[in-house]
Amino acid sequence: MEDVLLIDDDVELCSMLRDYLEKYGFRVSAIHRGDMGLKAALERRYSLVLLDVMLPGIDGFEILRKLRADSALNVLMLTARGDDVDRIVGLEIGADDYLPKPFNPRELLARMRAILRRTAAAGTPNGHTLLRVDDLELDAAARTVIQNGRNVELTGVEFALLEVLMHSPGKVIAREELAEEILGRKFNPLDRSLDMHLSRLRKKLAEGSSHEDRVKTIRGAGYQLTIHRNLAEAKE
Amino acid sequence: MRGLFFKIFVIFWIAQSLIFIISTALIVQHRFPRPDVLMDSLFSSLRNQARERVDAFEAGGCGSLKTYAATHGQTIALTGAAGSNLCPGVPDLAGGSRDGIQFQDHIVGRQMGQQYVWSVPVTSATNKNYVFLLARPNAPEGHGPNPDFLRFAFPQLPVAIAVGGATTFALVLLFTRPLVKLRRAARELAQGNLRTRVAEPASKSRFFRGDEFQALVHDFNHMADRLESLVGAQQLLLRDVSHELRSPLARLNVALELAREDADPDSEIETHLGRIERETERLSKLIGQLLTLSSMEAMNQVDNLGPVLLNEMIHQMIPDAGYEARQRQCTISFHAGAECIILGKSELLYRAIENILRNAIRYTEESSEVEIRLSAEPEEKGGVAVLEISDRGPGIPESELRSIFQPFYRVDRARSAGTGGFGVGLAIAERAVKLHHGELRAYNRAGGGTTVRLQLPLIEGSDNHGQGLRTANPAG
Repeated sequence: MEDVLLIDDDVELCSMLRDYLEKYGFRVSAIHRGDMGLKAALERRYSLVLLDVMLPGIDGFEILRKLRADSALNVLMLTARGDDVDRIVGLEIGADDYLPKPFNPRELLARMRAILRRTAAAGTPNGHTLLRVDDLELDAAARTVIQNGRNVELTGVEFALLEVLMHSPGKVIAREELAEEILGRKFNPLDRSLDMHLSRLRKKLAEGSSHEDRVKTIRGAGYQLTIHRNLAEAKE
Repeated sequence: MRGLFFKIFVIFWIAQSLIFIISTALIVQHRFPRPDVLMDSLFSSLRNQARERVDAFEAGGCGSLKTYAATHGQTIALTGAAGSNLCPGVPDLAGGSRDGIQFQDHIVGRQMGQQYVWSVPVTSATNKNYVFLLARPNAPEGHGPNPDFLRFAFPQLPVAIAVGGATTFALVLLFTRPLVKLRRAARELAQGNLRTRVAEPASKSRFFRGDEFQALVHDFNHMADRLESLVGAQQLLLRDVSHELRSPLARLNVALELAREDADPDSEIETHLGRIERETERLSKLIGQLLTLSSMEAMNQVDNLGPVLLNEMIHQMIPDAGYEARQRQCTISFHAGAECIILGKSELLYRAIENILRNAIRYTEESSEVEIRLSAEPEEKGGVAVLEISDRGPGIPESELRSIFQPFYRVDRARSAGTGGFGVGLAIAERAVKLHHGELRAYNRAGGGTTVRLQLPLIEGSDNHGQGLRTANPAG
């Protein structure tokens, strides 16, 4: 049973979603106010938060911003369909994924599972848990990234992205491949999620490094983790 | 507007100049006395002079006459009434051609060689008759226009014409400036920029405030206000309705899914639910498109612009669109004549081009080809990328070619009911293209079908030389 927190002011929708998700093995707590939702999210350890944007109290973005201040909790934003700004702002603040409302519940289920799968995959040691590229060290089992001895706080998507990139440093990885592996869906040029996650990752890596840009965007092809010193990939 | 400016200017200037010229001519004519009045005064002055000279002659002889002639620089002579040469002075007369000079009882003037000679009959104080002769060298006779007129008109008329020109210029500016501004604003408004207003002059002077042009500007702005608020209200209504429909639709989606969970997968209920789900999905899509359109209409410009390679974008689009095309046994071909890089927002452009492409696939005949052509064309203001998407559909009546970019516009309602579109896609495309300062037009192809032509300004210095044809044919 995965604990899921649903923060949405539509009471009826919440109750139906609870019924639906419970059939698939989720335990859903629904909260209809922003401020109370934030409190709940900080109090208990949920595996996933489904967060609506328009909320009484404080809005979804503010909740996400406060959550992200000291937590890498998985967050799926329920944005307004047709409103690109919401989606982009959500991803910029650090949502793991988003789903425009109204959505198909099967789609919601698929996205929730993709997020949880990422977290779960990172938690199980599968051969080589320690990756090292230049000054970066990623421990898949402990879900930590250390840069120059400094701990880098990453969200689930960012961690998964960095892991894929560090598996083959210097190699260009296609966007399509990353989309399917990380987001669990087909690449869609209109969907800027990958770019957003990568730009956040880039920012975090730039804070502790003198290198200007660790993750390069190759126009029309994909992304590449650049190598500055000699490649040192340790397998354990 | 040049036309009106020059017409008014030329007509007014010519009219003013003509008025000056004609009135000057009239003044000249009236200012100078009639010839008989002129002659009277001339003759009386000649008689006076003649009498004085004759008196002088009688008193002091020819000598006094000569002294007088020398001091006054005149050529004079005196003859007796019978023609005896008393005091020669006019050379020609001395030469014996005196026949013509006879005593006459009135003053006669006549041409004699290089001179014009007045002969004045005079009766002295002693009652003797003489003829006084006064010769003047020939005045250079002016030919053509009245020399008096020219002399009189010289400084005034050019000045008057120049001043007339300047005032006419100012007047015409006063007329055409507001017209030019109004016309520009009207055109902007027609292009859909409803925020256009004509600046009302800041000068509070009473001179400018009250005129008809100001009233027109004021009315125009009032009209634009009204138009903007009406269109705004309509857009707001559409947006609010779509917005409000989202929540019930979200609930409907979940309820439907719950119902499907409970339904027997082999029963008829399941097929009904499937149908409901498809319609719900259509509704969600429509609402999404409407909200996209209204948020784009609220935008005045796009931020975060970046270079966009159109060739790459189209290549990305083709596999997905090709899937739809295959279902209708159609093919998509892409001919790229140049690498076109434009400055823009890739999501908006992608959506625009994709909507046009999907529309073409939707309306093209079965087993036909949808052609995409991309090329670069030079223009005065830098190059433009030209993207043409052509289908082999039923075509569009000429009168409706411009209307297809309006939301919910359908050429043939009965026929397009089954095509699955809402009529919002092209409106979104048009808005996106406008935001990128481009142009979107549709025209009918020879041989049937429609071409939608999209024109976007290229980034300066982008490679717009032909690179040969590259054809992708994923659906073939």
